[in-house]
Amino acid sequence: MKAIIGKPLNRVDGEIKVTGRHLYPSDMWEDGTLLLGLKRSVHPHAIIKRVDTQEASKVDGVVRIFTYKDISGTNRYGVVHKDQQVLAEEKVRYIGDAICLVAATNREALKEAIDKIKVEYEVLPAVFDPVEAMKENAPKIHKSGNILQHTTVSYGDVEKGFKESDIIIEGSYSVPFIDHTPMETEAGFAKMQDGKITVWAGTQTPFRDRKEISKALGIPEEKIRVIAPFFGGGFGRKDGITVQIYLALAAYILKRPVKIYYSREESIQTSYHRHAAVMYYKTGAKRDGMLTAVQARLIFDTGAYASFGGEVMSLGVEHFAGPYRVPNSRVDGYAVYTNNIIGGAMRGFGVPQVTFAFESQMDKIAKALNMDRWEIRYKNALEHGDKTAIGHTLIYSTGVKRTLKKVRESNLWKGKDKLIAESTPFKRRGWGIACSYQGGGLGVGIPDFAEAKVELLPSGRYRVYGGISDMGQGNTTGYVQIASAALNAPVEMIEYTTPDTDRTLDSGPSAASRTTYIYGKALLGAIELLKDEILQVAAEKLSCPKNSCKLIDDRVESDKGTIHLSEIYKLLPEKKRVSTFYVDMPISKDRRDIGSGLPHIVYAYATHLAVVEVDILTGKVRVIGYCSVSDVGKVINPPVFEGQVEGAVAQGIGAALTEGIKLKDGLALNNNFTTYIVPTAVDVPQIEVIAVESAEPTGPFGLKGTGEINVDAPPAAVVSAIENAVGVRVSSLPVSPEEIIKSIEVEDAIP
Amino acid sequence: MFNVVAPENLQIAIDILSGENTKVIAGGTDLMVRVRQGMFKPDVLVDITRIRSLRGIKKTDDHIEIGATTTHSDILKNPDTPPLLKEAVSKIGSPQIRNLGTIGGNIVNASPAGDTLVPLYLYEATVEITGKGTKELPIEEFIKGPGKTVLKQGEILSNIRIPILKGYKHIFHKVGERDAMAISVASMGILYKTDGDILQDIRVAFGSVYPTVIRIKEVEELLRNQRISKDILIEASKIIEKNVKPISDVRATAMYRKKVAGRLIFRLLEISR
Ligand SMILES: Cc1cc2nc3c(=O)[nH]c(=O)nc-3n(C[C@H](O)[C@H](O)[C@H](O)COP(=O)(O)OP(=O)(O)OC[C@H]3O[C@@H](n4cnc5c(N)ncnc54)[C@H](O)[C@@H]3O)c2cc1C
Repeated sequence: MKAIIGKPLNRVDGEIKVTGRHLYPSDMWEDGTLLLGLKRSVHPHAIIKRVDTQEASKVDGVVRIFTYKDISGTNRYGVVHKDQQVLAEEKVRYIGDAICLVAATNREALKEAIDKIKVEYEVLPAVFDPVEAMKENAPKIHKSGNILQHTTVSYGDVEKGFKESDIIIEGSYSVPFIDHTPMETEAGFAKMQDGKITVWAGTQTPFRDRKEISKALGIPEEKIRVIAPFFGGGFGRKDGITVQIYLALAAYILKRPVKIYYSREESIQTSYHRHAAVMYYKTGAKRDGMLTAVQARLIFDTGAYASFGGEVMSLGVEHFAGPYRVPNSRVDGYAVYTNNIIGGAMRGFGVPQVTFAFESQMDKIAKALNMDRWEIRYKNALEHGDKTAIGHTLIYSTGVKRTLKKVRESNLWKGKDKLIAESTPFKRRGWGIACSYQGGGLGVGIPDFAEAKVELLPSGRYRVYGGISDMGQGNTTGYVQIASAALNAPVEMIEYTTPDTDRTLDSGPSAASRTTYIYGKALLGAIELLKDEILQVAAEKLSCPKNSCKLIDDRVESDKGTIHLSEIYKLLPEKKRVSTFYVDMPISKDRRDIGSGLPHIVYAYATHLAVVEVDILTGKVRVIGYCSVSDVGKVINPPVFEGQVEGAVAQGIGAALTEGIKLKDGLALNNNFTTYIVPTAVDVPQIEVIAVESAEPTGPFGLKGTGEINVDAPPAAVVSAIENAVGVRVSSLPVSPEEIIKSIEVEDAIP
Repeated sequence: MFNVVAPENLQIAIDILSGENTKVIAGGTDLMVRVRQGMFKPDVLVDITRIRSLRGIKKTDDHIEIGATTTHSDILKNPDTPPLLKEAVSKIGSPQIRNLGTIGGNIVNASPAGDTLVPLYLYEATVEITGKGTKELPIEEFIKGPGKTVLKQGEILSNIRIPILKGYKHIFHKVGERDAMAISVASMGILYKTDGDILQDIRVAFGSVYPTVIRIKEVEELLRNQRISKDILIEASKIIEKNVKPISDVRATAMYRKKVAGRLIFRLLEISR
């Protein structure tokens, strides 16, 4: 049955989704359900002088308008820093801060009431540029000042490293806020059930939500139940509180079913986003291409609230110099408050930003030294046992060199010269390369654990309790597959659940490329215990030694006979039909002192190859060939893996070429899909997906994690290819066609 | 909230449309976006897609006639569709949008970015208006400005007539932020006829760089009866930049649009290669 590992397995949630039977959080509805909506701040920074809900409450169909005064708890939430208010008390800090929660019987009434609520403000000076916000005299957004966190790491002697170098390359880079664009925006449903506030929501963190709801509203945790059905995408956006507290508040006070579902415009303006960042780099190398020192200053714009600002920036710090051997380094990272939209968790978590910068630096060094772009990477690539740029030792599987070797065997590598030779006078082609690595798990100092649960059912089937949200990435299928292999039972014998704080056990967030690694590991532990119980009673019943009993499909077999699992179920005491198992995420052995959330120790690695075509008349760039080689440990389900890679690469191509929130004084101008441009099927080429499976002995069946690694490298690879095609080096994303044509005069460019 | 009526009879539709706060809906791909944005609140929408006489493509001796509610997909499928129009329509939205959206809707919408308009200006198409009686107008006179046409309450666009041009070839270039589901940032259409390496005739128009689609006759005159060369195109490019008046918006800057319009003309070099 281990044969199932590494084989395609249809998604267990596939059928209910494609037949439309699955109820997503935004689908849930019962008779009498009230709709919820929010009155939000229209100013980026202001004192609330007065809120007048009188007119609004008179709107026919309005049931209740809540303000912060209706909240008896702390009215605060936030993953690390509780700096967000459920409903604003005195001050708003970005366009979108929630001031009133409205419940109404229909959409029209809801909208009318929201429009009719009058808020008087005293507008405060605002700051939108993180570099400005760091200055002494900048408007203060929080009492603690505008610098949320400063993380510094140094290793070796960076001054000495620069002195020893033959060349030094400096560069500055910038990236915008990026939206996750999940298909389903923030949504949920809640009602009182069995005396508990029960919330169904698109959430990556049901257990953390329960705590947040409890504190914010002042209701004991045992009165709250949070359920996370399969939902329509998260990518980090739903790693924490979005709509959960509003749902709980309204259901609790009104004792009626309630529903909320953000419009795309509301979602883009008010959700968490990938942080915008500006990054300054200085890289030193020897004439032979060996890196001697890297220094960087990273400024991450976390917007109005902390969310994961400090942690995301810290991940940027950890990965700042790439999967390379750097003997001397220094990096200063800042997460800074502004009156912009909020930065938070998004696939890659700080690594996409720095990957763009450090890989651009690698290209520049290669160019300055007249070296091949592949070669410089291979020469410097980390190996097992090496120390990273921040000085911790790689003691787990380390496959970056293998990805670099493998990329040369790809069809795209072999065919790229021919592809590029097909350039026409107006369309120039070129290739680019980039490497990346990505730590899995939450890092040193942050509780990072999973507790799996598995049960033998009366029919002799099993149920795997999924403790970590499945937002569409397929981890539940992974759990079923792992259970099937470990229990030596066909997939059809395995039932599953999605997370439910009343039924499953807290296993942390669906995040940080940890989801299958850690839950799979815990699940294997739980299964071992259950198997042991099963074999024990079987052995007793059959009067044979335990080690002569074998679990096969729905029965235990031995020389003495066979016993069906439904029989075993009866023989097992109730408690022993369920087993649970707790595991901690492994952490780095050294450099634990640096801070919180870094470093990691389980890393995935990738090398990406892109071929682009640049239209020199318009500056438009098309990606015409793409290959991803990644080391994610053992691939247990190839189509799910390919889906993760293709999705991540498409998202990365979007970040390279068209995505990025355009802000004007804190307002997102491109707040729907007409103007926030994500690539479509015709904008992304066929992607050649290759895995080098450096088995990770600590992972379930050798797996590491694949959720994020492939989102990091695409912008750098694409930008590398653009330079190769037309000689223009882009340092600010997304690539601007205008910038490209500014640098290419047609008169000179065409014969 | 609004009501939708879907008469099968043209006269009934016209009668209802004479009422206040009524509006035509064809595919709804423009209209519903604006209703959702709250840009207007109609009481009655008159769905004209069930009126048979408004739909379909006919060929006469010297014209192609396209009914106003003919969808973009139908236009693409029809062998009689003029080739430049076909190419431009193939760039509209996505298959789903093309299945719903109509040529009439694209014209009445009067967006400078409307993809059917560049070809219609170049073919010198005429449009038929039906209200109390019918009249026919050149497309350039029908469209008054961004979102503005000569249509009055109680009138609909019923038919489009496109003269058949023999021996012409075309170039169409749409610049969007991506390759599907994108509103053009700038577009160029060219109809031309060659005699050896001489441009016997040429018509040039641009979208999205002026309040309406714009034909640039000065460039046409410059290039007519000439041999294509880099030098003459550099000159043409300058004339184009001088004539366009683009705006800056969330998609692109005016400067970019102007530059691109000027550069697209270099595609003519391809025909001499
Ligand atoms: C996702 C998306 C992508 C799009 N991409 C493109 C694109 O790439 N290129 C492009 O040009 N357009 C695009 N559009 C816009 C739109 O699809 C087209 O303009 C389409 O042709 C409009 O036709 P319709 O039948 O849907 O018009 P409707 O929305 O039904 O009507 C549009 C307007 O015209 C009026 N109207 C319609 N027909 C008549 C008539 N016969 N007589 C009088 N008035 C009439 C309506 O009252 C309304 O004011 C896109 C739209 C969407 C939503």
